[in-house]
Parts: sequence; C-alpha cells; structure tokens
Amino acid sequence: MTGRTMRLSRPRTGTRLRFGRLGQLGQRPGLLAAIGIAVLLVVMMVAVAAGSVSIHIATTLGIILRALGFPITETWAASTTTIVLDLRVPRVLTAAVVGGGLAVAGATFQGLLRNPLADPYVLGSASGAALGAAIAVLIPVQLAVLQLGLLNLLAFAGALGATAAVVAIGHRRGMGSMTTLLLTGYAISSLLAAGLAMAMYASGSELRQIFDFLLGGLGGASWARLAIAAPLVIGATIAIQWRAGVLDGLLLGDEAAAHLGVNVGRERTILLGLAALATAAAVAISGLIGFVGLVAAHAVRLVVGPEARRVIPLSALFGAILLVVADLIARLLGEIPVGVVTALIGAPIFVWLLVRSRSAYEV
Amino acid sequence: MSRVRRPRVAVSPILIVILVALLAAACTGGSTPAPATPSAQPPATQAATEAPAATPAPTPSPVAAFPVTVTGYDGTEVAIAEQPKRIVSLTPAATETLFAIGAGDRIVGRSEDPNPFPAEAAALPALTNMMAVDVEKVVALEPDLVIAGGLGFTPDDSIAQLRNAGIPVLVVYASDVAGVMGDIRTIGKASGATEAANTLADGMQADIDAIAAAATAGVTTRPRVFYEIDATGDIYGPADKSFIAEMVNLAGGDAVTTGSPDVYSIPLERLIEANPDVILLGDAAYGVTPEAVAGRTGWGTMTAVTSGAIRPVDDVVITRPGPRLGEGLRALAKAVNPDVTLP
Amino acid sequence: MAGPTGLIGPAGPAGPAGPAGPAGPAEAGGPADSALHAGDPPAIRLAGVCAGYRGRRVLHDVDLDIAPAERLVLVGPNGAGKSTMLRVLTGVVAPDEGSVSLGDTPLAGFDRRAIARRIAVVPGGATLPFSTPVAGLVALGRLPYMDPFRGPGEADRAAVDIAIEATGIGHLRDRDVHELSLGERQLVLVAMAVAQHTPILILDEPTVHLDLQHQVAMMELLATLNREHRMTVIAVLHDIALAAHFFPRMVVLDKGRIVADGPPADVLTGGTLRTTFGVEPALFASLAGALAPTP
Repeated sequence: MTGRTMRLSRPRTGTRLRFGRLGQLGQRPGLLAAIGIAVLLVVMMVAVAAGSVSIHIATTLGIILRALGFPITETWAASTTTIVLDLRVPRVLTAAVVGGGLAVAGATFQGLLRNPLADPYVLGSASGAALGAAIAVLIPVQLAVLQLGLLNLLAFAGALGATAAVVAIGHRRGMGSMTTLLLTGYAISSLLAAGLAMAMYASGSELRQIFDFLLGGLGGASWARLAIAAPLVIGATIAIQWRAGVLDGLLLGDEAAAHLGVNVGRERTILLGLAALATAAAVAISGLIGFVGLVAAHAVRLVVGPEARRVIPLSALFGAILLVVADLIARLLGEIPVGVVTALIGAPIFVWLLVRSRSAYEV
Repeated sequence: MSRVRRPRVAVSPILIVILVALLAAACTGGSTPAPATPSAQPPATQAATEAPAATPAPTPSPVAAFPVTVTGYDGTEVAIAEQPKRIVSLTPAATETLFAIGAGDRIVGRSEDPNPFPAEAAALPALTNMMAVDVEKVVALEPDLVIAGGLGFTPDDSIAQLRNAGIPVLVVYASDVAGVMGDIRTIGKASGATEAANTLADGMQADIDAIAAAATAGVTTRPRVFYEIDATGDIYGPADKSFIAEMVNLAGGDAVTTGSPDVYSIPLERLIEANPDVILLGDAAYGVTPEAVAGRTGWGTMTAVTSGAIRPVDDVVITRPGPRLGEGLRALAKAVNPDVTLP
Repeated sequence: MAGPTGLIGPAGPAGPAGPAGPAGPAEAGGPADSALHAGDPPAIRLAGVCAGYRGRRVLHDVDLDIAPAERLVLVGPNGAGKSTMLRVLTGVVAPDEGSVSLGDTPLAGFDRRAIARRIAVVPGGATLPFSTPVAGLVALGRLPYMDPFRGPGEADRAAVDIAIEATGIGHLRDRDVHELSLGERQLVLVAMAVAQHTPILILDEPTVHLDLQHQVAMMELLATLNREHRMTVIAVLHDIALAAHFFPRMVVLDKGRIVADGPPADVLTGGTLRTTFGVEPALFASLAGALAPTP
C-alpha cells in the first residue's frame, strides 16, 4: 500500500487507515506497541525535564540516574533534586498511569456497552466522584490515610458507589440491556450532579476546592498517591487484557457470546467492575479529566482494528502519552486545567484520523 | 485578602431546603478553632540560636526563641528549628504582617497580588497563579518557612507537597477579628519576631477597641448596613457571624446578613425587607458606582438608596486579616457614619 | 402426549449420496475423526422437557432423540417454540421439567465453556457490531480454546484456515465483513461456528435474507459438513420446501409440542399441512414442486 488512498467513493478492503506507513503499522501491532513504549519514555523524559523552574537537561538526567543507583556526583542543589524527584517524576508517572487507566476503561466500556460514545464516566463515575469530593470539602473532618486526604477517599468511594448503583438498578437481561444501563447511568449522573450543585452552592469560600477537583489536574501528584493508584490501574488493565477475548465475544451479543463459551453475566459484571475500579482510582487522584477515555481507544481502533487484545494495551499507551503531553503543556502555560488541553490536542488528532479513514464503527 | 472572591454559583433556592437538612448535622457553621498561640513563650534556655549569616537589618528580639513549635489552623504542629531566614508567604495578609513586624527582608517569595503592600513587596517574586501554587518555584527558593492560607486558600495538595519536601508550612486562617491578632502573634512567633508581633497585635487591638467604642458612643439605634461583596449575578453579602459582619458591627453598624452562616448570597426580597440604611460597596474597586446601584430595579425602596447613603469602600483593608485592619475599621466606621468622631 | 413420534433408530446411517450433494458419496461408516472435530459426536436426548421464560411456558413435554451425526431440521409456525428448543439444546435455557443430555451426561453438568466445545451455534440475522476482517471474525470461534493472554496459537490459526476452506470463503479472507453481501456474511458466521471445532452444529434460521442461490449453497454446505465431517447438524428453517428437500429428518413443532418427526415425505401429510401450517396441501405441492427428500 503506498500513498494516500482514501476516497470515500472507492471501496477499499478494510476500513482502517491506508496512510502510508501508518496503515502498514496497523498490521503489526507488536511493532506499534514497541514504538508506543519508546515514544512514551521519550515524552516522559521531556516532561520531567521541563517545568516552571528551568533545570538543565543534563542535571535532570543526572538526578534520575543517581536515584537509580548510578554513581554520579551531585553537582546541584538539594532543592533541585526535590523538584525533579518529588515533584516532577511522580507527576509525570501519575499522568501516564491516569491517562492509560482512563483509556483502558473507556475502551472496555465501549466494548461492553456496544456504544462508541461510551467513556469512563458514562455509568455515573464522574458525578459520584464529584459529589464525594464536594462532601469531603464541606464536612469539617480532617482525615488523611497514606497521604490520601478525605477528598481522594470520598471521590474514590463516590465513583465506585455510583457505578454500583447504576449497575444494580439498570441491570437487565436480554435485548436492550445495554441501553437500559446507559440510560440509568444518565439518570443517576443527573441526580448526583444536582446534589453536587447544591453542595457547591453551600460551600461558600471552599468552592474553589470543589471546582479544582471538577476541572481535574495532576498538581497533587505524589509518590504515596501513585503507590496506591498505580497498582489498581495496572492490575485492572492486566485483568481486562486477560479477558480481551471475552470483550470481543460480547460484541456479538449476549447469546452469541454464551454460545462461544462466555459466562456472560459473570464476565460482564467483572469487566464492569474492573473498568469502574480503574476509573475510580484515576479520578480519586486527579479529578475529572475528560476526553482521554473516550478518544484514545477510537484512535487506536482506527489504526489496528477492533480486536480487544490489541486495542487494550495500545489504548493504554496512547492514553498515557496523550495525558503526559497534555499535562506538560498545561504546566508550561501556567497550570491551566489539563482537561482543556486534552480536548484541544486530542480533538484535532481524532478528527484528522476520522477523515483519513472510511468508517470506524457501526453499531 | 478578600474572603469570598466573586462566587459565581447559583442554584434554585428550592434545593436549599434539602441541602440544609442534609448538612445541618454535618456543618458546624464555620466553627473556628482559634489558632493556638500559647501566650507564654517557651523557656528560652536553648543555646543561642544562631549567628544570622548576612541579615542586613537587625532582627528584633534576639532573645533565643528557637527551636519553637507552632500549631497552625489545620491543627498541624510545625517545628521550626532556627529563626527562618528565607520565608515564603502565600497570603497577602501574611506578607503585610511580616513586613510590619520587621521580618520583611527575610521574605523570598510571596503570593500574587494586584496591589502589593507595602511597596517593597512588589519586588518579590510572585509564586501563585490564580490561587494555584507553583510548588516548583517555591522549592527552588529553598525556604525554611512557608506561611499558607487555611480552608483551601492555599490548595491542600500544595501544602502536602511542600511538607513532603521537608519544608515547614504554617497554615493560618482568621475567621474573626480576634483571629487576625492571633495570626499576627503566631506569625511573629514562627518567624522569631515575637516582641514586634505582640506590640503590633496589642496596638491593633487597642486601636480597634477604641474605634468600636467611638463608633457606638451615643448611638441609640445602629444603622442597618449592607456590605455588598458582589452583585453582578446573585447578590453576595456577609454571611451570619462572618468576618465582614463582625467588622460592620464593630464599625457601629447593624450588619444585614444572608441569614445563614454558610451561604453568601442573599435574595433581593430579603434585602429589600431588611431595608438597609447604608449600603457599602465592597466591589467599588471593580467599577460599581453608587449611581449604578441606585438605578437597579427593585432597589429604589431601600432607605439607603432614597437617602443616598451608598458609599464605596476599599475592600482590601477592610477584609484583609493583616496589620492594616485597624485602618480598615476606621474607614468602615467613617463609611457607616460620616459624622462619627474617631480617636 | 398426542401426536406421532416417529423416531429414527439410533444408528442413523450416513446415507447414500443424494442428487443435490456436490461432493462425492460418503464412505460407508464414515471417518471416525474429521478435520473439523475430534471423536464421535454424542447422541442428544431431550426427555420430557418443559421449558419457558418467566411466567410463560413454551415447550410442553418434549421428547427428542438425536443420533450421532444426524442431520435434522426443525420447522413449525411462528411462535411454536423453535428458538426456545434451540436454547434448551444449548443450555441457555434450563428446562423446568425433564432433562437434556449429551451422550450420557446431563447438559447441566457442563459449564459454558465445555458446552461451547461441543455445540456451536450459528446465529441468524447476521448483524455485526463492528467492522473487522473476515479472518478476525472467524477467529472468534476459537474463544473456547484460546489462551487468554497469548491469544490465537498455532492450533487456532489452523482451525480458522480449515473452517474458511470448508465453507468456501477463502477468497473473502481479508475483506471487511461490512463490505460483504448478506449471504457472504452468513457464510462467515457458519465458518466461525465451524472453527469452533465442535461435533454438533446448530443453526437458527440461517437462510433469512438469502437469495435462492445462496440458500441452496448453504444447504449443500450443511450436507457436506454432515456427511463428510460427521457433524450433527440441527437447523431451524422457515422454508418448509427447502427443509424437506435437504434434510432426511424433519421435526415439526407446534404450540410447544412435537407433532411430527420423521422423513419429510412422511411428516408433511395433508393433515399436518392443514392443521399446523394452515396451508392446503394442493397449494403447497404446487408451490414446492416435487418433494424429493435428500439424505
């Protein structure tokens, strides 16, 4: 395949990109994954090297290598070490974990709900987390467990609780069950959002804290939070990847999946739970960051096709890269909300991919 | 520091009922543990603190007051080993306080402020942007003490990150006038300028008491005063038992409040019913004029409007919990009653 | 229970080649092992099965014995319970009364995966929610065998290739399923079921939306799978004439009961046509042309 070949009128074999090398890469997901990992490492390195305080790249490398045990003489101030190792590195790693987690959750929900517009927040996680955070801000209790403040804990609980409620109420067997679930998710989200609005109304001078959570951001990243959220996200991702075949089977419909050996009720609940867990962990430490969860999986599918076994890990990589880059830009522009940046860079990329390919999804 | 920065959220009042029911038990209406300021100084039996490296101006109170432990508004005990030489102040009030007690030359960074006070503060690097703290810049300055604002004024995450980096962070928050003096004493103790701080706080207290007495001397009925924080959307005024309400009452007025300790917005009907005699424009700095207020629909029946008692005030000195509070109270008393005789 | 049962003996023969079969005649006895599944297919037995859904009983006292490597078609008017019967056969619906067994083992003793390795179902309707190359869809048939992490292995790839060969869609292998015609899509779904490597194949209305040519092709494929690869084939068809021509055994279901069971010529009596299908025999005969049952 050479050159640009997409014309809407010409039938092509396959609906994936045939855009020079990118199309060929789609046939080799292993290579794509390797490239993705390399890009992620480079991007993370750049992100650690940049910040509001300018630190020479050699110094940054030196600090990291020294921390990894290499014998490097310390020619910089202790505060520089603090900035790199305690502020930037955990922040960049958190961005990678959160971006990857949201992307995987989004990909899973899209497959489970058979709906390309599904994102990690579609079953109430966002509203639940926001309400939990708002309640934490309002009640005069100071609590911190392993550097997770009451806000993080209640956001986590809120996200999981809301999704559990949606599944418990909206779960139906048979035809249209996914539609019912989606609609229930919408209804519960609206209800929780009303509660959130009230909490914000009563928050007075503490409104800012709730608002910061809603906008989402990685400013609160720390090693302790990463140590708790990363295993949850990574564990959930691995567990979902284990069930990638099941995800594909479920796309054929409940009954067809059962005939292929899938224990539909159990597997669906497990997959929902895993995706909700990854979402809750991400949201608890970084607030509501949008767009990554919706778009990363789609972009990957446009290149490698819908097979979940490929889409899940590649979405994780792409989501991680996207959020690390977005956070870097957000930082350099003076700490603007990272959700704004993800939309601003993600949307044009996605539109470009859509235009180049013929069709991504038919449901 | 103005306590409420133009809040913008508005929700149907119907929902207030449910909210109040939900939060009645939880919310304690802004209960304020007063910042712990032990009145007695710790026995200064430790060896002489240190020889300050190169402090150009002589620091007051060379009496060995370190190491010292100060408890902040968040309940955290902050241990300060030696007199801080590089202080970062993340609230405008703390910046003013530090300068006022003679520690201004030891400040290495401050929070953003469109009108830095005193003038020397303008030269210091600004470390916050829209209330978000640039933790990297703070760390790069290698401070040995950071003073932060409580109740989320300085984001909790930033405070945690600074503490993680081994920097002592003292959180201050004054919810009432007495708290302002308390904060000044706390900051004085933490920065090793206890004597100057106490002098300043005592003087302020005396000044405030005198002004308050003078403002109420011979007044049989206090005028009802509405302090307008913002009225571009909903009308925002002082909540019950809030800082501004207290200031207004000290200034000789009878503060018109929102009716709830948690809510800062007041429905127009309630305001009309309260019929303030005086309207003070805390938002004058944002371009609100008495003429504009008088022209607002529905406001025409208020005594304040008919008698022309709409007066702009400088909200900074009135609401900032810093050393100029006395000056603010003075201005406020004059605005409440232009004919008052003040000491 | 009313109605004839007309059971065929358990040693159902592979049968002589019929005029409609394109492939060569099957050897007597047939190969014990086939490329498409291992071992002999088990016999299937439904005994006294009553089944239905919440609040609604659909099947009443159904007895059915299916011999290994039989080819039978299930017909009946709308709402007779054909789909429910299939669901009972695959274990998706558990009978309220009675039992279903594969060989000697009750179906309830198998988990979903075990059933999926013994019974493959070709869904009707052919709607697919996502675009994917044909080989990818056929590979889904290997789900009951695939390693969760490593994905398709050598055996899986081989099974997919064989299935694509057997169903004759080799030329469509890399095409996207959404570009195919309905008939081709249906064949892909059959290939997916064949890749599942099961001794029993069930098809629910596989000829809906197909033109006559593809209907015939589908029937011939089923005959080949049955004769040459010794797969038990159970199909639900709405087209009685097609069913009668291509299947040696026809089971008629009406209002949840089996009303006839045997060679189509015996089953499609005037009485059955009138009572069950509501069609005059003469009309049916002229519509269907000569009925010549195919083994």
